[in-house]
Amino acid sequence: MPSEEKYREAVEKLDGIIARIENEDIDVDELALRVKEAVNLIKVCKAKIDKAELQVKQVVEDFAKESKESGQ
Amino acid sequence: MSEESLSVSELNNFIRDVLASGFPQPVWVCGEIQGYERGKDKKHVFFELCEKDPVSQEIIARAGLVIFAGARPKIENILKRAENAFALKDDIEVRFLCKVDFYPGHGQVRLIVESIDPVYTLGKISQDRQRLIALLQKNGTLERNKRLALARVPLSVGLITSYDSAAYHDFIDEIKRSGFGFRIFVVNAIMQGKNASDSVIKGLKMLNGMEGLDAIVITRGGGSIAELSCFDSQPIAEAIAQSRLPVLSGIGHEINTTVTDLAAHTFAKTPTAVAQFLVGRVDEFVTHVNEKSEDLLRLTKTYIDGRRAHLKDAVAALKGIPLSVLKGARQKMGQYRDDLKKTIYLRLQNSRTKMNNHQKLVEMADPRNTLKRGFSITRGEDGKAIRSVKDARRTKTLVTTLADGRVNSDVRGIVKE
Repeated sequence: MPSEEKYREAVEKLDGIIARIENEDIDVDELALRVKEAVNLIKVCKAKIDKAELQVKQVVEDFAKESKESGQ
Repeated sequence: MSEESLSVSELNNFIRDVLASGFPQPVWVCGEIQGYERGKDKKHVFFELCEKDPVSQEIIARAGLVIFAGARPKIENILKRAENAFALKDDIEVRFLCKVDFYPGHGQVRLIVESIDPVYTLGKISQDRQRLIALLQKNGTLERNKRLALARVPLSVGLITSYDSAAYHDFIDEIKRSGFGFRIFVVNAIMQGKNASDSVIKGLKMLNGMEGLDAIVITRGGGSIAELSCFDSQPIAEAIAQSRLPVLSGIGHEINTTVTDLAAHTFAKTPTAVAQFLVGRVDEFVTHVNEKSEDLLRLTKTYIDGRRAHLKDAVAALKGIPLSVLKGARQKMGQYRDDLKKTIYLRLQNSRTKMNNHQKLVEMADPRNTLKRGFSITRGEDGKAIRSVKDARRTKTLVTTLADGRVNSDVRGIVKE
């Protein structure tokens, strides 16, 4: 899975896998494969969320700092 | 009629006796002097007295007169006592006390002047003057120059006077003393006698032709009525009336003002007084300007102070209002910022929760976890998971996958439940 994959696409893919996993018909072998895939996707998404949170935190802090420096 | 005849001398002597008895006392005779100028430097002055027709001005009678050398001191003394108001000269009306004499040697009647009545001549001069003034008043000549506006700062002045005379110096000295930047253009003129009138009129015309003058001054020093009578002149008065420039006169006369003075825009008694008038006018203007500039300064200061106060108020208002506005805007921005932060965090949190849920679900679905709980996967010879007893019939051996390894076994029986 390419790292540039969009969060949205990853989430869509993940939703598709989960729907497949929840299906009773799924073969054990496929299930193991899908679980592995889902875990990877969840890792990627979590990393994206963490990264996004860090960026937002940074931007908000910088903005607060700028506002203070421009003199109230 | 007698046959007797007389010799010329007998006749003349007889005429003299008759005249003498007819005029036992000297008589007062009035008339206009003629031919006095040509004989006045001789020892005995012979001249004529004549009478003119009041309308045609033609001579209708004349008589020969003589002032003998012996009578002159008396006559001169009388004139002197009359303050030299006039001198004997042609064209003036006089009243002489005369002895009527007939000189047989010439066969002519001769009036021997013994005395003079100056009051008569003064009255005549005064009358002539009054008549002239009345005429000039009536036809507006005296008013015309007065209607001209005199410059508020009359610094360029044409001066008609006798150059280098006492009057000239008095005037110039006073002007110089003022310290103002006067420019004086002098026209040298004859200021007494018969020719004064023409000379002054010439000066007036000349100065009127000059550019840039503010006024013309006619001035001379004091003198007797006789000396100043040339300024009781109709032609001068008319020339002043025609002048485009205001004429200021200072004909030094203590008793009467001359016709020139009356026709002028303004008159003063002496050259110094005329100069003082001009200086005073300039000074008045300077004072006025100074006062006005002080007013202007004061008004400007008041205005500026007012504006400054206004500006100060405006600055104070600006300081107050926009700061409060900015403060509000800043608070609002801060609010936006905080809201944004919250929203984003909330959103991220949601995503994270969703991921965690997915993770739990996936973990639950992971077969390895199922195996750990005691379940196992049984596969046939083809490696496919056995989900039904039907699947077991196709194979002889089974591979059972447990959490920690595999068990191989043979199919010994199948029971369907």
